[in-house]
Amino acid sequence: MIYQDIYPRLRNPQCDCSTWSFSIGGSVQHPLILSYSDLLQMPMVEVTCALLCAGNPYDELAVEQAVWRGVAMATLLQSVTRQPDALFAVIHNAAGYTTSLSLDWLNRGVLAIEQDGNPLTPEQGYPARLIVPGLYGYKSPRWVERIELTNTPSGFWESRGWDGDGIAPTIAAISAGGVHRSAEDVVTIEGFAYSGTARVSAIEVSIDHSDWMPVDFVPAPPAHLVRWQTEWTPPLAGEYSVRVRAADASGYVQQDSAVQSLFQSAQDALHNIIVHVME
Amino acid sequence: MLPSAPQIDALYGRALSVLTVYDSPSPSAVVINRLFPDSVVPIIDTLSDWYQLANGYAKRSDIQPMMLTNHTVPTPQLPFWAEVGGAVAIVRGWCAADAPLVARIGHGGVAQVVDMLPGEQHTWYALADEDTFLGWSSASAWIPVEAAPFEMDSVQLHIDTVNRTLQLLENHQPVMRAPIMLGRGLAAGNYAVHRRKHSVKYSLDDASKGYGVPWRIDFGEYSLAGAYWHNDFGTDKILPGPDVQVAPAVARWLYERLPENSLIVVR
Repeated sequence: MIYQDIYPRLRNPQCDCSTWSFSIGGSVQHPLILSYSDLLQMPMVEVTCALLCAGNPYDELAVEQAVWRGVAMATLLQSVTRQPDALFAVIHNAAGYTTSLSLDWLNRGVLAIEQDGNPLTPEQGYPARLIVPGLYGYKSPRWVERIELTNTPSGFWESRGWDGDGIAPTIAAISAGGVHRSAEDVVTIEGFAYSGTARVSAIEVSIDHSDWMPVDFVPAPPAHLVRWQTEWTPPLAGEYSVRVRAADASGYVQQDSAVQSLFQSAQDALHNIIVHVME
Repeated sequence: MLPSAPQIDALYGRALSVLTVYDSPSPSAVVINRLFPDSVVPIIDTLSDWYQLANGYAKRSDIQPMMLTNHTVPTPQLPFWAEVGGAVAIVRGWCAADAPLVARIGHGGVAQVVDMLPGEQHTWYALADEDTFLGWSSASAWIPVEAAPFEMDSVQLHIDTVNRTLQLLENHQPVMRAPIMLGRGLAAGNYAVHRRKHSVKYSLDDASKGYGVPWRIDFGEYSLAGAYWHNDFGTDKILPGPDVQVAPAVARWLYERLPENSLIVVR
């Protein structure tokens, strides 16, 4: 919401698939230009992943998982002959937004036209959007029209100080459990965890800074949402601080000392809620 | 346990860390549950190094026995001493659950209540030890307590560092025996109690564990006090903290019966 207020030109554009086109140009021998119907004729792939917004605080955390269907960017990139100075891709969309990716990350992406079995909605980027699993949402722009291969990265948020790589961090959050309860009632605490590039290997909860306790969860590949749930019986009335942290298969563990930064990795800090337990 | 000793065969226990519950009293048994630290569990029976709980078994060293205490004690005038009657008391930098953590004082820990702030939902206590202000804590975790002096004739405390026990004698007759944990080696000899404190802070390996250590009795260059952060009394471990560590209820019992100049014999 905030960026639409500050940057009104990012408001949703209205795209017409009959006139829409997609191109890959810049440092290539011959540009690739495709109509929407051309795109529909290409081999499709499906990818399941969650997109994590870099700018939201925990209490309004925007994270969404879907099955995205579209054309693999690797397939599209094979259709062009790159020149030696093609090191980065700058993605342009119909709203004037830009972001950049290394070609390695672009190769892992999908130019999606469907979400969960349905054509993209205008809000989700109809007619096509880029999906790059493992990166923050600002690296997966909606309403994509053009990709330009260059030797220099650039981008709307990147030029304002946001991280150029945009790798989504390993995080955990609490989505339920903070309501008023009675002492000795069982409190169900639940939430999700996410890791952009490595599998979530552990989720742990701490009550009032006690030792961390591992909670059960169903393992999932990187960039998937991991749901978790645990139960706790408050011994007394009072206010309790409940925190959660995640670890990933690379060995990274969210740290107590993590500090929210203005730009990248806004969700690195440990998520904390207060559970009020009545007499 | 001798007849006049404090009764610490508790009906409830506090999980000292993440509590693993097994389906039988063996570390190789099936794990059937895990409970959060400071969970309160009923203790059905004691089996050597294990407690039988309502739904399984847990290692004795993972649980601190809790004394059942009268929670309806009227609030005295400020300042007053209070002990942690629940599983744990959280001490924070100010009166809010998300304020910075100062200390986690386990069951039986003691602090002085120097101020109170009634809130909409909970009353907050401002806490101090003998010397310094600690922070703020929810009043629901605390129960007013005062060590009532108990007159005895010719009382002596004997500490056996080999068998890890202590024994209180009155007129050379044992009246109480309890297991101990050592914080360091003690030199054999006779000592006199030269100072006592309701509550002190120790530098332990975990900073949040060293606050509100209750009922300290100083003798020679050593000290005896209650320890709420483990239940390894009677074992041959050596853990940081007071030189002689006993269960908080035992420490209070001794504090009431060992005035200054009492004799302590270390063997």
